[in-house]
Amino acid sequence: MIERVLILEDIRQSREFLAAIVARILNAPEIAKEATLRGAEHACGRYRFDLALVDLSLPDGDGTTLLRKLTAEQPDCICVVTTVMATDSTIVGALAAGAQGYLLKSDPEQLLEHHLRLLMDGVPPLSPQIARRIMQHFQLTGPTHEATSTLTKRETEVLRLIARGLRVAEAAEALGLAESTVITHIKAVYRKLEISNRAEAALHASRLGLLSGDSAD
Amino acid sequence: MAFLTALVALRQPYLDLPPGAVPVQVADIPLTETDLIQEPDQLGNYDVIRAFHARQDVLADALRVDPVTVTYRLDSVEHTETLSPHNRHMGDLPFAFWFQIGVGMVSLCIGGWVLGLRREDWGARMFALTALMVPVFTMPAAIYSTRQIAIDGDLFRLLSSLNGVGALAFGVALIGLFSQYPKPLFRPRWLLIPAAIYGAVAVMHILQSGPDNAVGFGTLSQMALALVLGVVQWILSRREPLNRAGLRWFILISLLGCSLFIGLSAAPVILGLSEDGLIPQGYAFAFFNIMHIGLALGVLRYKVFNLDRWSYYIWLWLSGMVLILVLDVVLIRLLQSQPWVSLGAALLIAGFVYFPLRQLLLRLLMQRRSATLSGRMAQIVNCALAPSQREQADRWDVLLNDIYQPLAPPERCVDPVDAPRLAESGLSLLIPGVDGLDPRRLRYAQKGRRLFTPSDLEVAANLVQMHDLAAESRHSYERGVILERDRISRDIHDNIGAQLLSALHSPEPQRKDDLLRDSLNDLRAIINDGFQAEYALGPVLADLRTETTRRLEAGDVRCSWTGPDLPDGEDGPVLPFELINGLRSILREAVSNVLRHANARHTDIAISLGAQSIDLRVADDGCGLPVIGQIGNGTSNIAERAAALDGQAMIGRRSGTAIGTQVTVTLPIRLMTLPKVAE
Repeated sequence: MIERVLILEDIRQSREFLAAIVARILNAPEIAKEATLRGAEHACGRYRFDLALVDLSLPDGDGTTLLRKLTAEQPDCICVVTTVMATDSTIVGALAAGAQGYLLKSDPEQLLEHHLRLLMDGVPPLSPQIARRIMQHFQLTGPTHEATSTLTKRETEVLRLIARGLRVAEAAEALGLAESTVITHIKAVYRKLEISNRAEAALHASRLGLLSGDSAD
Repeated sequence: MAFLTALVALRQPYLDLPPGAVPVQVADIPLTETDLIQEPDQLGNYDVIRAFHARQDVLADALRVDPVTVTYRLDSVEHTETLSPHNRHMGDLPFAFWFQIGVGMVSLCIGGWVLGLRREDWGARMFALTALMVPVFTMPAAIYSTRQIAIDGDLFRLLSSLNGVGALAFGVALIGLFSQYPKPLFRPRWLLIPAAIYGAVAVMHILQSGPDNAVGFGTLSQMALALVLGVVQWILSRREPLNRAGLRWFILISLLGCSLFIGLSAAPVILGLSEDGLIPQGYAFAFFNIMHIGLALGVLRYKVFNLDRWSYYIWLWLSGMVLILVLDVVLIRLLQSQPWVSLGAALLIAGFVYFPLRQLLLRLLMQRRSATLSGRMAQIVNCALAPSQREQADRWDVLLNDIYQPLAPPERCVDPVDAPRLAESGLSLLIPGVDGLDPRRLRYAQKGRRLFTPSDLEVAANLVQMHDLAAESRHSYERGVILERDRISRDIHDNIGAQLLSALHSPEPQRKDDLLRDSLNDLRAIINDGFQAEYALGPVLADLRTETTRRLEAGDVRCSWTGPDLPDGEDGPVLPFELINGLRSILREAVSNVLRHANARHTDIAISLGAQSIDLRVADDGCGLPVIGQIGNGTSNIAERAAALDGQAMIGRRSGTAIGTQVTVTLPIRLMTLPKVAE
């Protein structure tokens, strides 16, 4: 049950627009509307949120910072990136930082609602562009990580089909799988993205000697 | 003078001995080795010399008796013959005679030439004096040293005196030369002091009194004195590279001439190291010619900067020679063995010790002294890529300064310089202007320690070339940036601008929103991929498929999509941005029409790729077109778009069914490049 929602968005009209959609779909929960990263971080310190819509480029910083904070401190909160101009790689970066999905604010209201509903039902969105970018990401970083952060054959196939413009249902049909199985694969891809991101961070940290104390224990 | 010498020589007695014969006895007088000595000064003691002259007198008298019995040794066999002596003929005079005459003549000519060119210069005057004195000692020596057996004792004494006086005068002139060149160390009148001292020595020599070997020690001390003066000049020319370069050449060539003569011919005898000089004195005189030719070049400052480079090599070569000689002398002393064996040993040691040493010296000297570009690449590129011309000028100056280390910072040169060149006899180097900078003039290479040389020119030419290359690539990069910027602004104007404008002027609010959304989508595409001139069809269609199906789904319209058959893993043909953009706009417009007007439940979208064109078909099962003639805004947009791309658009009833609308668009493919294979 979604009771408290955080909306971090610096443009007032967009903030109200998103708040209206959230209020309509989720049956008027409590909505905290923040225009700055600092305000949102402050709010996170005071409340526990069930859903957070986070814009990435903010006047006082990067929304990814908040995504990391929320993933670490409120792991039950569903984090969604709302963007209009963010590059694909920024979105993948946000997904790797713990976001469960993303919405394009330029989409028609109807489409936005549709996507948000899917998201709440546990179906992560995945556009061809993002799928391509994720494939690139794993191609570039894959070989250096352990099995938990590399994609399986099925996951790669799902990604490839999505990248060619197929919807989840179409991909499922093409692979002879159930739609729910394809969704599970997509979720697994998301998770591995996050794991690979953490693994990379850990790798960097150990390279910098930040984890040397741990290994000595 | 030469004529007179030859005349005197021809009046001396001569016997028709076979070539190579060594006379052993004339009449009843047995000849000693001393009687046949070339240079009696080498006998040292005046008493011995006087005795020698007396013997020459006796022998000369004996040779005037006709006929005379002569015993000579030829190939270790003694023959005795009775011959009639006669005066020498021209043909009887040996090569050594003419050689010494020649040496004298050459010196005389050079002396006259230099004096003629620089009459007022005391250095040149002294130089001419040294040259004048050479025939004074070579020509008399030519007569007595090439005598067959004996000449008249008094004549011998006269010639010997002349020779001694000439040699001493030569030494005085040499001292004078180094006291006046390149800078006068004192007034020329003070030269009267050495002239008086060595004049006294000459008088003693003529009178055959005083210490032994006066002339020999006299010339040795003159050489030493000239050398000291040379060193003084050297020190004084510390900050005057031109003088120093001239002097380096000067001292070198004088030392070379005089010391080779003294070292190879005179010194071994005077110092009692050997009976004869290593080279016959007559030939050794030629060393003075080497000296004079070299000095003439130096005095005239004829391309001193060119000589400067060579003088280093010659210095090194000379020091090698000296080392060999010293070793030789030491070995003679130590081993008391055959001179040629010890010379061989000396050469051997020189090979093992000297040549590696020389190589080291050469590297040290040449590397330190010559400018080089190695390790300067980063600096050159930095200079060429300087953000402003002022900065570039500063970096250029620093670069030139680092490479050549001129005494003063590089000056800007007003006159145009086409290629690097030397000026002021190598005192300055002119560097042509690069990349719009002024030409530069560098003065006094290596803090004034050397002159600019042709190798500096080569370095400068390379430097200019490298800088130009770097600057050229910077310019083409800048041109590329400007072209790219122009293209981006044109694209923004043509696409985003046009879309926003049509949104602004569109009366329907829904269409306004669509156009604004499209603009945002296009902007995001630009941010993601940059303004590319070309796009691969595959990814574009994938994105379009998702976008379209989502839109239709959101409007409760089912959609079936048939794309072109692109090989798996390939991105399809690469198409120009205009075509891709047109295709996208037309599809969006067609889908908007379906959603807005058709009231359809299903839409078929088919995109196929032909060899010459892209075909798009959007067919719905909606209510069909309104009454003919009432074509909506959207459909005329599609027609306009297609027409702009030289394509065709057909909007009509769906074929094969009673209901629905069908939009068919054919866009010709131009500027298609080879398909890009995905990684």
